Amino acid sequence: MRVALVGNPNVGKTALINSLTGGNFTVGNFPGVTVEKKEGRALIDGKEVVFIDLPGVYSLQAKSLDEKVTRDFLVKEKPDLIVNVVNASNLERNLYLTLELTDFQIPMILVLNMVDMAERRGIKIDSKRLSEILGVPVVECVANRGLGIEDLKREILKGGKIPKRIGRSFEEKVRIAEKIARDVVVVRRRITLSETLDDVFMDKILGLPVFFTLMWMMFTFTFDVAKPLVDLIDLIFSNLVKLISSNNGLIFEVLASVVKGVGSVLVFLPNITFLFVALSILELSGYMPRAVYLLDSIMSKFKLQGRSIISMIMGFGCNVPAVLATRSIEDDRIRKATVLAIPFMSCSARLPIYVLFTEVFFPKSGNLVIMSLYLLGVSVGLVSALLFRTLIFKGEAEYIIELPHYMLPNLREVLMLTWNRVKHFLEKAGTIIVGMAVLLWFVTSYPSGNVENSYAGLIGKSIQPIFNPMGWDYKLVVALLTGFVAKEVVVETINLLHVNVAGMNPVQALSYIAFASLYIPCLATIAVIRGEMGFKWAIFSVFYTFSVAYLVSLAIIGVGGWLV
Amino acid sequence: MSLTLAGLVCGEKGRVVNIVGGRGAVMKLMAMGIVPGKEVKVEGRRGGAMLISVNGTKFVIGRGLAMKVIVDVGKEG
Repeated sequence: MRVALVGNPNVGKTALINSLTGGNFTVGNFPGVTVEKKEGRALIDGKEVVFIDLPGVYSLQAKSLDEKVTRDFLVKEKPDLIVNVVNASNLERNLYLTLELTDFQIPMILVLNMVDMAERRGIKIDSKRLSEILGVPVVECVANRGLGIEDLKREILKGGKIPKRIGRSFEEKVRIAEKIARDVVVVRRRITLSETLDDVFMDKILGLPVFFTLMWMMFTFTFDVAKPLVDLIDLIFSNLVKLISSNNGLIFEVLASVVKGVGSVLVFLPNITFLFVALSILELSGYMPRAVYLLDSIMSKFKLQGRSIISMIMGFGCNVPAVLATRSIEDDRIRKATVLAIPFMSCSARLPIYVLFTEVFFPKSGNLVIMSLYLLGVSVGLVSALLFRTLIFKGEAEYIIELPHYMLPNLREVLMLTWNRVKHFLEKAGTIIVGMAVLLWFVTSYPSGNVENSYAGLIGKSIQPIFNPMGWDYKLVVALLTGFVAKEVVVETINLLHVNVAGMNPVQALSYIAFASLYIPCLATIAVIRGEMGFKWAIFSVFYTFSVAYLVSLAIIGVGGWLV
Repeated sequence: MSLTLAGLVCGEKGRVVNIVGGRGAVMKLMAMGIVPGKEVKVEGRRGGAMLISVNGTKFVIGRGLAMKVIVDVGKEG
């Protein structure tokens, strides 16, 4: 028996599939699209039931991807039963979708979820009357606490009932939904905790400081708390490399560089996992849409939206998840402008470059220099976004986001969400890094053993003239080239090639780190930009970031030369 | 008096009389419960975004969409 869960966003469908299957569900994608599909199995009285959680939709009218996926599934896959999950606090609006579902003439059960929250808000629903009107069984549930699940299972085994067809056009359904809600809902309004929380989180004066405090906590969690794990992975890999390198032979040489390459990316795994845990909590608690509103006054000056800042802040950790996080931005034009601005956010992989150079050149004011580099990235990113929104992705922002009630996130949901995202990172970054590690080993070892006459050295030398105005050594250019694979490789290459960093002058050094901070996104980022916006825009991003980086470092040389 | 939702000030209420715009925008707004006859209250404004409540549900709506919602504020003139 196949059962489809259908309902509005924020009605607790994930919690429901979780308690129906006892946590036995997987998160994947619908074929060919990046729409999440959760599927789980359960044995109910010896009968196997497969649950498919369809994306949360408000109706089947508009042409969004989520709605198309839901409609196609109901038409083509013809599930045996629809479980329509409804938020009891907001029956009328949820009923629009319910009435649309009656058109499919598939057996149905209506679940009134979160009845506890509705009761706290003074809302009581006459479920018997509702069941008579719709002609389908109605079950009251509190899915996240497992209440009502046994009743629901019993009804599922009975197979539900084919609903009466109610209303023809969508407009008519809306009017009927209003009437039904008036008939079955009794309201005694009370102040809820959610509104009290909003008094603080959404306050005109307190709102922003609270937001920045939360962001700071997220950063500490991502970097400081994850640090011991990062060190551990680093230790394991460097010992592994040592062990492999102690053997002689071509195969061990290649293996060592692959392990080194993979290790250089995997060290960031704890950071990324912790970042995603923090973000999942923010998301599931219902705070995210509120942050969007709080930051809108700042972001709208750059023709972006509050939600863009969340992606951009994530970019400080790693650009890859930051680009993926733009999916939650509703307006496509804003989304694209944000994606193209993200590579300027200085990710954690660029930090080692800053540290290396500032220790040599600016031992006293290192922190200030590093801080300015972060600010440089943010400013360039925001100005670029404004440029894109004015010239390419024009138009007034069109979006509407529901503010869900605050919820205490369920640990399992947080972990599921995190794992699903980390897995993507591992798959995409992992395959690229392994390939590039082999390539890197090859171009630095052939046709001759020393770097100067290797392919990498030759390429570096032939490209070097472009950077003549900056006066960088060809080895530094090679380092930038290899940094294209992953930014942390820049420092690795500088060490490997024994570059005499101290031989530069401070202005040259500053222009170099500014360039390294802004230039071409790493391969993994380019890959996800391609995934989100297409090949053309990924190439555009490469050229755009390169040009901006070149101009900025040229400007630093110019101004610096004039000052010194 | 009729004006667009974007024209309301913070704390002001209005009744939705019409939604103008393409079918996509109209359907999207209606599906979220912003339908003719409903009372909308502006709870706050910040930059291009407005915080509104309809039927006890809160939304953040961008200026672009808010301009497509025609509301009646009840005052004559």
